[in-house]
Amino acid sequence: MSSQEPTKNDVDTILKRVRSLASNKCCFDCGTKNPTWSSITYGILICIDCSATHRSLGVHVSFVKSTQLDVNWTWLQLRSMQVGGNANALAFFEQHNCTTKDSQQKYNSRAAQMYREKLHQLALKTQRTYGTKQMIDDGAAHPAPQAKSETDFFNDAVLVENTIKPVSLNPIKEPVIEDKSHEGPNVAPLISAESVQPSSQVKSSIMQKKPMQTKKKGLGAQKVNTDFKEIEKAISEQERLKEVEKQQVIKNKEEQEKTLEKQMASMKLAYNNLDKQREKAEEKCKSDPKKSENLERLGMAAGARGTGISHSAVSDMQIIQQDDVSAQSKKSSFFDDFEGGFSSKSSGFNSRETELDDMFRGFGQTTKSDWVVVDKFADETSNRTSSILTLDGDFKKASYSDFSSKTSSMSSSNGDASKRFANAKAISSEQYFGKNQMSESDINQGRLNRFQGSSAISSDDFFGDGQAKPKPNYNSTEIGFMKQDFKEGVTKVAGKLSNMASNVMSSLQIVKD
Amino acid sequence: MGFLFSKLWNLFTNEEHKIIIVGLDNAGKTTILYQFLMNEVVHTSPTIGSNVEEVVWKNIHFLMWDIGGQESLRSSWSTYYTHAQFVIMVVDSTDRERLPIIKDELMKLLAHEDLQKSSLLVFANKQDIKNSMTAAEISEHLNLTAIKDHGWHIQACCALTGEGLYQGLEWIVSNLKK
Repeated sequence: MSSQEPTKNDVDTILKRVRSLASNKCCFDCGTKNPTWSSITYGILICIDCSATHRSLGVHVSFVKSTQLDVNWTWLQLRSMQVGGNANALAFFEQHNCTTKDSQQKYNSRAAQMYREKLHQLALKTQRTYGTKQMIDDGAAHPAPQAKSETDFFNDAVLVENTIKPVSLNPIKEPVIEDKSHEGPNVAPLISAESVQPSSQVKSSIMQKKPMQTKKKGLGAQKVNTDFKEIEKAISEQERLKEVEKQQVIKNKEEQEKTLEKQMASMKLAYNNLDKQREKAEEKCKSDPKKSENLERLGMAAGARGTGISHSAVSDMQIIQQDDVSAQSKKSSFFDDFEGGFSSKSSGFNSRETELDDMFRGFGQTTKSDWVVVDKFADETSNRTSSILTLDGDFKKASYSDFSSKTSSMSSSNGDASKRFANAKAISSEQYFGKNQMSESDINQGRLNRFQGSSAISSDDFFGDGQAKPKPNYNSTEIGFMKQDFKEGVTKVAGKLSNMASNVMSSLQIVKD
Repeated sequence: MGFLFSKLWNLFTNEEHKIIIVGLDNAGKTTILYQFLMNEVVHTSPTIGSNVEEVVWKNIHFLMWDIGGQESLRSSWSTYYTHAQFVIMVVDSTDRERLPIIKDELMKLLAHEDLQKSSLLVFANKQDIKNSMTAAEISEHLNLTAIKDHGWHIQACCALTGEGLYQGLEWIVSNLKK
């Protein structure tokens, strides 16, 4: 990536050029004219409606940007659009038999993933070759031919194949493409061969008859006087026969065509089956990373499913697996941190706090499995806070209990309040800033730590505003209503009392009188 | 007594509280708005301009403005700021790359003079997606803890399921009473 961001002018000119390409004049998904939104991940142009579906796929699947409303493009993104284009994407998807209209399937498919990676590599490569030279000049003046020649170059589906080879990271991809290209042509010869054969048969049958005719005509000329009627009959008969034969020939042709079609269809079906099998296999692999690992290790993947496809599937699996691994490792490291935080410090907390701390640790463990748990937890905690607050008057404890009150059981001892918000779903500033403690600057870092992994933080938590303390506790308006009811009651009583008083006064006055 | 009556008054007059929902494009602003309004997930397309809906929750009326997040629309956010009591900033928790941009936008937003009295609610959206960042992570990246002139709250949520959304609103309500 070049350190310099493209100027507005660059972005405008490049996007304009991308939009003006004939193949980019229609939405990649639905064919609407003049699309202005783009999925950078695939370097395609789409309409606003399709951009909605793309957005719903998530940024990791498709990153949508408007070519008009978004102005801050990076060079890499621009390259991706230049190198990509609807035509290339279409060619690639077709090549890999991904013709489904359902965008969920389409963009979560293996072909989509391959194209994503390929395009990314390609964009990186062009970025490296052009970007380092500060394409600004290129972007404005020269690049028109350069970039265009590139896109034109890739417009050609055949050339795309060629270009894949140098670019593709894993050579495993190649067999896939080759396989396809083999299978593709295989159909054509079949058709041509069989379609030629019948026609030759037809011709021969006709050829046989025509000489017969001429012979008979010749005969007829000689024997005009002798038996004209007979000849006529013969001829008419032959003509009938001919017609019948012609019809038969036509029928034959039709039949052959039908069979051909059937064959074609079955070919397609076979293809589909292959696809389905592959997808199933992939799904299996995905659902079970271990399996894919094993498959890969044993080199089994390809053998089982025929064709080289599964090879690439396995390579794919690798990537997914890595994701998993990273996620897991991340989690685990996170929890390591978390635990570490507990044991790190101790001091002035009473036994109760340590208990809470333990609970809290348990909480961390439970969150690992599910965040719904956390949610309930948060609910309950918010309800509890008030009571605890009034009891202790120590906000730190209270907010601490926020995150630990629901969790149960557990073991060890020393805990650090700094980690008290870990894994909570919500942190608010009130919780975060314990205003009771004075020197904020010192504590801020510690405060931040204690929110590790919590799902919500708010300023009141953070600063622990003393005044604000009771406020989070009216977490529901119900309390408010109760108050109001109470007040209403009081005012009623007061009114009655005043009535009584005035009555008394008046009666006193009467007595006086 | 006067305080009590004013509180009573507040409760029974249907005063509308203006809330603006901002965030980068594709963060889930529109989805959240309609999740609040109808409790269902609507199929949204990029918001050009804004959506505005009146949301009533626990007898409290909110006027929620959902403003498009495309880059060129962000400059128009400031036109919506006046009298906004709360700013909801929606963050796509899976979009790590653009967190710095969010931070910039947030700082710009909070520095605006029309928003000096408003509080900030950050929704860490899309928590259902694997590998999404936690609320604490996001708060750290956005440096929320450095914000001391605004009340703020960050809430993990998932607009598709509605999880966490009402906790956020609850915080807003609790802050309304101040």
